[in-house]
Amino acid sequence: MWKKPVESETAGQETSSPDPAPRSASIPGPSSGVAAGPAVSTRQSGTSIIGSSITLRGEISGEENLVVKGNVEGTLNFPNNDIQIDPEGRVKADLMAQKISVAGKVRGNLNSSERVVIQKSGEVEGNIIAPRVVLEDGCKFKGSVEMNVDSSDSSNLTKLGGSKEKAPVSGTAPGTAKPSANPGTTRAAGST
Amino acid sequence: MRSGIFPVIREYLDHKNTTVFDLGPPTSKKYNYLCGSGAQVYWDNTPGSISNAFHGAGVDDVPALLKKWGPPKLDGPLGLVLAWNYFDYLELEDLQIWFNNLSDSVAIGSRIYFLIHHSPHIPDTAPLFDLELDDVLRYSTASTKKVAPRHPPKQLEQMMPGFEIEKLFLMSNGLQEHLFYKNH
Repeated sequence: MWKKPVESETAGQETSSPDPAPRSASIPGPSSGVAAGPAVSTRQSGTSIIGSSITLRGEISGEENLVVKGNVEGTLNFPNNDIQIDPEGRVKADLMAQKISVAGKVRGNLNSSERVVIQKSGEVEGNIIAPRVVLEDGCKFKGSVEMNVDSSDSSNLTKLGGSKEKAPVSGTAPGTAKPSANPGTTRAAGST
Repeated sequence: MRSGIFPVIREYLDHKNTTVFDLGPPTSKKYNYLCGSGAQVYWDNTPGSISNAFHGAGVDDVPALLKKWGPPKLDGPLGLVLAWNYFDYLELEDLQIWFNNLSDSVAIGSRIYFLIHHSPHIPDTAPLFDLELDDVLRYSTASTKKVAPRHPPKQLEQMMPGFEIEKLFLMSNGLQEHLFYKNH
């Protein structure tokens, strides 16, 4: 499901395709930093990559998909696109995207308009708001999970940490038993 | 096995914006069940956590872990705690620690759900429970066994200040479901 862009790294500065399009990830200068490494990011086929030797700090936003193989601290804001954190990726940031897939480590809140997937190698410490969440066996997770509104429309993305609506109760079997009329009483059922 | 208590819990979740603390590991099925009913679910299965300890993930001193462990600090009280069958792996004095830690995070109306084996033996590490949308419980099995403590419900009730038994349901495999309710 994820594009597999070819990663090429260039020393010293951000690289871009030969025909730079306006749909590129934006990393504000004053709040971003490059700690070390030969490349900041490479993009191809509508996907930006933060390479494994890169550390970025600040708010990163964009109009194309993002793959994180390096370290990011701050905010990743891609409301109309997808974010993928690769196994070597380390993120201390709030993430907003259509789809978010985590195979690395994330410390921050995840807000998705479509789906969050925590893969078995993934570790997340933070809260998740998404209409669909896939938690693979073996993943590590600390935080709360809440469905947001049914949304294929990214305009329904809620502000991270802000208010959100509860998901409509749907797709669940109707309750088959009434709540205890007298909760204080002991009732036993089934075979003994 | 079909749960006799989760239909009641579902009804409870449907009528309140409940916060659920699941001591077990997160799964997609539990997410669908619980969040589909409008609940917010809190999980912690990071290394050194309770759920990892009960599943034998390298935590030797469970009582020490229980003393350090606390439920999540949230804006409101927990509406439901899912303890699965972890009480089968705690001595009564450890349970007392567990409930003391929990007491500040619950309020009148809060519920605790748990299972107790009433067969003579239990797996030596806690099974992993999952929950289907049709109230069916699925759980892993292990070949090695240990003697089941078979804590009686009334004894457990005494360990839980303010809680009393709301509903019990004994399934045909010897697992008894418990729903305790905080009434004061």
